[in-house]
Amino acid sequence: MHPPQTLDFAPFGAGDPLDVYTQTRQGQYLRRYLDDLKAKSILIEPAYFDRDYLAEFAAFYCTSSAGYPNICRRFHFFRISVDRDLFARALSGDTAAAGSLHDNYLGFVVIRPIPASPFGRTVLAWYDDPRKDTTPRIVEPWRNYHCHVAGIKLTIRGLAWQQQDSAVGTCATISLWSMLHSSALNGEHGLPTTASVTRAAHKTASLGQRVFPSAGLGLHHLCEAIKDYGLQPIVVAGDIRDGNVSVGFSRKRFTASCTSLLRSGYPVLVLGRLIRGGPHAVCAVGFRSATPPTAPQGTVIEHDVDVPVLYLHDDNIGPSVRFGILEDTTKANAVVLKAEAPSSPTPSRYPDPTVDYDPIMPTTLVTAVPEDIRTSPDALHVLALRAASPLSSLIDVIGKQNAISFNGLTFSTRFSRLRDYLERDLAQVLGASPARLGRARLDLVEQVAPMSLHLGVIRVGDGATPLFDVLCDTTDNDRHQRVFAHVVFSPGLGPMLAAIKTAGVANLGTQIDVSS
Amino acid sequence: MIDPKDQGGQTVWNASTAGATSFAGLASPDLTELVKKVSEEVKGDVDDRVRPYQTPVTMETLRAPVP
Repeated sequence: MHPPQTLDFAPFGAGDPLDVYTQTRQGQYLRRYLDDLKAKSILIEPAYFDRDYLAEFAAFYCTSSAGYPNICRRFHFFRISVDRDLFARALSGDTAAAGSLHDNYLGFVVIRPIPASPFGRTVLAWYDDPRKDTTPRIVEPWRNYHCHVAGIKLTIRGLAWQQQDSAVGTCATISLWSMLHSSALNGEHGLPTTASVTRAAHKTASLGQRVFPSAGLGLHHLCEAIKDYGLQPIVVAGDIRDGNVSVGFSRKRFTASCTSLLRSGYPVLVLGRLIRGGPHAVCAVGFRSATPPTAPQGTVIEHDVDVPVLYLHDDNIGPSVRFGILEDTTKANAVVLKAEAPSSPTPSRYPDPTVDYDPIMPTTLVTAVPEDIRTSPDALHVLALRAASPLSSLIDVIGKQNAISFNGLTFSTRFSRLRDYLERDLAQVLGASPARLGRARLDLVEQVAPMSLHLGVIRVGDGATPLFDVLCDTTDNDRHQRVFAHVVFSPGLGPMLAAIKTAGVANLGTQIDVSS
Repeated sequence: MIDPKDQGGQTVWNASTAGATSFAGLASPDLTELVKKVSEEVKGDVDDRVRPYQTPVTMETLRAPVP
């Protein structure tokens, strides 16, 4: 048996137990990230059996002659000074002490006994969001993780990241593992381990390749692994092509696809190439929303085209790394993702690990969705353009006839559970008008054909003003795409949308007009 | 015409400005005929706009190596 060991407490700073790992890019990133979170202290669990590492140990390390132990350490970080006395008081029922631990908890890092890749399961708090009321950081896939230390429950909200060990998991494995942790997939499957992800990937598509040590997964491996967890893959191929091969994304398609999926709670596996290196896979876990552009009168544009930043779990760097969404003018304006450090209030002792990091050129996106979602963001975007383009032209013509100027239209999409649409999405638009909100909810339930568990929601706006929603069925294939209803928020728009339906330009389902 | 910057710099997913843009009172004799006419005029542009969203997933894409 492993010998008993005491919990340890240390101030966060030079010489603390995390400091020995700052020779690596990941160690530098975690250090700087925790600096910016204003970490003050570390609680060290010297003996921690980690579920993921035990699975890796059973799959690979237990038979190595190196004699790897099967036990890890776990570091917990706090933004207050935590010492043995405060912790002992919390354990003894002091609610003030326990409350201060809970309120100032910043997350944890599991340290594996693998010298070359020590960082195991890691969940850290997000930075505060100073723009949460205007252009918020969208991190829908996050979930709560509960840690139990000597009877104290500590909770942190985030999405797990870890470093690849190149034996049980490579960057694609780790990215898929993070993706399957999404809260949007709760109830669809149990939380995976890296070992189970790699095994699932090889179950039906191995083609003779050995499982461990893993030499990497193909896109078909990733899709098979997703299906093995009772989910279905959505693959979005880049629209900049060289023959039959996707070599990049236009900004419009990349931002529209990523924001649609992330807003729905589905993390996105971004597959591509490091500009000066080889293939790479990362997991997009969030984005910074942007004020929509003003569309010229009579036109339609993608609402999220100006989104400036994706947050990526990159096993080469760390969790939630900011990547600017740029375009390579020498390669048909294909999207490139460039890592960038947030401006830090205090200069760090550690080098910025993003400075010399190779930009990534995405070529393919993959996500996992519940079985009953049989459509894709692409299908929603096509319908949005087919409905909104003639509407915008119609508004342009009628506006000119009446000598009134109007902006063009923007569109944005997401998947929502029906209950979330009725409770959250409608309340956001109509919350200031309770009577209209109540009428919209009741009419959708009583006047529209019974709707599917998940809806494809198209929101068309004038800049940031929502004008109407289109609610699409998600349970049929794209050739039989059906629309349940459209909900009109803007006065005078109902007759125009009815005319679009009557003219056979786009089927928009039952009209629910709550504009007045 | 409302500039999005004047709406607090929000997005359609968090702005509570429904109804801020009104099309009420706009007169047009035959909306359905007008819709048919403008949709015919924009059909070519719309076909171009939707094409990127219809990019097929080829076998070459599925077989691409990932580390």
